[in-house]
Amino acid sequence: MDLEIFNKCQDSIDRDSEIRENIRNLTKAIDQHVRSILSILSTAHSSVPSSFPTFAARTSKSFQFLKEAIQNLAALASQHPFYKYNALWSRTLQNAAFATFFRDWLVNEGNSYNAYDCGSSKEENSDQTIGTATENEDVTARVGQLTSLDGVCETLGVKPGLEDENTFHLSLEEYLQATISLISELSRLAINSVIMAENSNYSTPIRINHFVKQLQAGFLVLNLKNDALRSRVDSIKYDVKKVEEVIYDLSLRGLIKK
Amino acid sequence: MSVSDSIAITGRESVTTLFSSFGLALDAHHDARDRVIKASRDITAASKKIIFALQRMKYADTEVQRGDLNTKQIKLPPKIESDIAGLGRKIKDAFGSVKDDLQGAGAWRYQRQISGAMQEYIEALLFREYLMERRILSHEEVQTLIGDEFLVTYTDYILGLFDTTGELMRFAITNLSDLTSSRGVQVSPIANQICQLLRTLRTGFSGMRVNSSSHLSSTEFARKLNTLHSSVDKVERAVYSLVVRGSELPEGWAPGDDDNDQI
Repeated sequence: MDLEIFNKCQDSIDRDSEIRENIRNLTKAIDQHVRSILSILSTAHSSVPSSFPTFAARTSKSFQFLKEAIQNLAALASQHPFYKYNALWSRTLQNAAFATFFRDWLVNEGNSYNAYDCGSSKEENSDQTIGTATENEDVTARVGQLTSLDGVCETLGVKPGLEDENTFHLSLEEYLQATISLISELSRLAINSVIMAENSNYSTPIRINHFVKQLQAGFLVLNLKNDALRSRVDSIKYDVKKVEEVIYDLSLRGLIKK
Repeated sequence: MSVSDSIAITGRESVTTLFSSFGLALDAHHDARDRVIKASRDITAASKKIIFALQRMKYADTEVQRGDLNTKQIKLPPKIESDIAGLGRKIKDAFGSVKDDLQGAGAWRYQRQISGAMQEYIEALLFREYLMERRILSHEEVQTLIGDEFLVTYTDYILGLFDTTGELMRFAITNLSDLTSSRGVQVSPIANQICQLLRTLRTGFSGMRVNSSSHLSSTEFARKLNTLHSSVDKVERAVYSLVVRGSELPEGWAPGDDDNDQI
């Protein structure tokens, strides 16, 4: 029996471990940038929507760093078959995609709020209190849109994974997972926009409600298998329910008009 | 503002249209995965049957020419030979059915789904080759046998080799004594050889370092190594008792066929 077999196996194990270790280190750098972006964005839970674009802009430097960190990972990962090590960074890339979604959504929401709530209260300030929404049609006219796969990829500096390529890309599953994270984050934002001490904002929950319902409908189109994506898709309904309860409470008390 | 410039919003495209296009890609992925899982099951089942067929034969009957062990030819009983050939064709067909799915990016994407079948098939290949040729196939040889269009990972090779040791242990126990010997009860040459091989493998595997970050799971490796230790132990004890107690038996005594099937 040739002991060479064991040497070769050992070599392959050692090489593999080293690559994994290197990938993990690059992934940690990405995680760090995603965390700093999310910590800035999470101020949304205690701010007026009109300020959303301002602090979203403050993340642009971190997004630049994030893009560079992802490029470092892509450079290393591209030397190997894509799915061999994909599991090591999949979660990280999901979070990065979620950060992109959240920023884009907040910018859009800030603009909608400024255009609708502030605008309307200036023009017709007679019969309504500030921050109280009027017609649902108007409020939802500028409802946020989900950033497209191409859009996320552009921000993160990666390729979209719709074609099954062996090169570094953001996979469809990662994109969809990030979408679910956005739904969950927005369900929290719906509550927090109401409980804001000085400037309760009732139009944001309405837009959130429409937005998450659109996404929920989108997920219904998919045939899901019993995998990781499926279990998270199952959690969407609880987040939707949370938002619906906010809308219910507000309409019950006449805080938003039917 | 710089941030809003970089935003590409889906615009008029509705979410459901967007998701419908995702649906097609997801369905294709799920279909491919299902095909691989199905092929994997077929390959595993057929490989297990090959191993059982090999375990059923009486080694002494397969030796065509006696004498020097290394030059001896092994001829499988026709029934077992044809069974194995049939099962081998089944395995080739199953591999062929997922050839396209396991190409390019698919090789690693569905690696986890095919991995179990790979290990089982590698086990069958290694076991058969050992019985026929008394040698352990290398990773490269296994790769050549399975075909270059399929990915044979070192992990699957190592785990397959581990499982082969279990089969070798069983084989050594069932073929423990040399039925053809005229000098009383003796340990058969094949059992002796397997015993030596298992010891070598034990030494080799024990010397390997598998850390927690490698593709080969260190807990699985430790578990398999433990199993190997007990396999070696079983064979050593069996050979030992045959040597010790065999010497007490009267001249010319031969064990009945039934005694060989005790394990």
